Amino acid sequence: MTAAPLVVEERVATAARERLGSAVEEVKVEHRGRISITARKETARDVATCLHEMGFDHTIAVAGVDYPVEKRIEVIYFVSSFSSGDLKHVVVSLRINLDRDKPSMQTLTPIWESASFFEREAYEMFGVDFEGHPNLQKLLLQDNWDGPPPLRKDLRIPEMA
Amino acid sequence: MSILDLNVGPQHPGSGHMRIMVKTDGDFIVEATPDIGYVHRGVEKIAESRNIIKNIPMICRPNIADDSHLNWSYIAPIETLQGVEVPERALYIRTILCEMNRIASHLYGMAIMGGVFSGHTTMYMFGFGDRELLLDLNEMLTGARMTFSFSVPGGVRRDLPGGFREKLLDTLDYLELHLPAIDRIFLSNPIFVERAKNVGVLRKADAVRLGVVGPVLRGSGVRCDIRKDAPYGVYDRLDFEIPTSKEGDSLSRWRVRFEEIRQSIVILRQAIRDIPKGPIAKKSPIMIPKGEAISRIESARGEINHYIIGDGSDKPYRVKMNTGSFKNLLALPFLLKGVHIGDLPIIYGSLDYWPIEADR
Repeated sequence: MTAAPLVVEERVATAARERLGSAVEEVKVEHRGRISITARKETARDVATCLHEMGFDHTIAVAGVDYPVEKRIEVIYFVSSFSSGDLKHVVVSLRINLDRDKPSMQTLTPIWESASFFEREAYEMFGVDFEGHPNLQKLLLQDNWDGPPPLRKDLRIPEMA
Repeated sequence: MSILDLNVGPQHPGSGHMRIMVKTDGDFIVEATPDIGYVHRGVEKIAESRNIIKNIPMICRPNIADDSHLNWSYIAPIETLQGVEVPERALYIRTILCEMNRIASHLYGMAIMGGVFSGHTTMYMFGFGDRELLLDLNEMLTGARMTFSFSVPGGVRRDLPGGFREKLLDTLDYLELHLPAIDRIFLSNPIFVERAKNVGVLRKADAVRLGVVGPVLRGSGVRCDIRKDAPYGVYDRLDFEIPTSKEGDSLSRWRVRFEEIRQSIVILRQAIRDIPKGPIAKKSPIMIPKGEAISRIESARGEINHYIIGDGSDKPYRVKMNTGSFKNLLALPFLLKGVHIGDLPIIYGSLDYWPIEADR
């Protein structure tokens, strides 16, 4: 692997810092092709709009992560670009921390339609309420599942004994 | 106007392990809603309870036709976090296995999703007959015909066996001779062309908006392939093309896969020629250091990612698994809107959807 300078990554990070200002808590270039942006849930929509305008046109994944000790659930949108040639190798992870007792945020599906099913998955697996989602229903779980959201750490499976 | 509700699936022959809830008005589909999850097994949850090595077979199982890509995608973030540098020879062996898998997977798709779904029995026989040769090679290299779980953190489990190179080259020679027949009898067959051309058209802008991946994306004219855009392994040293097609219809998605088989043959010839001597694995610890990483691997069904968080123990804190089929599913309701019910198998088939991979 060549240690090429992170020109594109730094350019994206600088542009994001300038355009978003106080809307983001942190913009960080992690390594080649990876940028991490932490936003508050109130500003997530603005940050997403801005990233979309910069050329990040689709989500490659949306992951929920449960941190019971810190009482938070982190939702991470991994976004990348099909249309902008020099952004194709870049993945921006947009991180939003939510209150574990009542995790909710505005849906980003209107901005990235590709997030639609991912958000439904995070809804059923972590109990995150995506306000304004066009069809927030269970996707993978059976309809009569009434246990806790299964990917939260408090659901123990026999193998964890 | 009377709307009729129709269930396609979830019994296997029509749709794989999923149900498509279709509302029809006469002969036309008004709305189609995919209902998935019939084979959801909680892979991500179980992965949190097992050590990273024991996870490998389980994580690879959701796609038995394309085992090695899921394998590589799961291993890559662990290797990143451990800081293990994988020996060149191991990367070449992984590439060889992955490209053989891609050919086998595309042949399988063309046989079942293309051939059977359009009533084309010869393609079914051709696809499975030719795929058999690749399964033999898989068996020779890994000991298993499918589901090999061959890559481990740090390298691969076995070196190329004696006689493998010759057998691989023989198989590629045969495939190159036989591909024109597949083209003539299936892809260029006027009956199949009539059924698939201009059916299920996904325009470039819609493909980007819906975030579809792999041959579905490239069939709509978007030149994106992780092997070129963010090369992993040794792909930056291999010379190959990314086939695309502008039309975006069901036929062009199959055309792209067909051309990808040709490109995989090109890659395999280079890889088996250039493979260096040396070790096939480096020692790597059975633990994941604190941190997180996400992989990007181009599988037969498009980009797959594993997002892995480590907490310093031998078990991952979180594994998020994203597969090509799950991303491509979003295109299904979009493409089925307003089409003839008779076109459903052709459109559904052209996405080469693998339900188990999507459900995990």
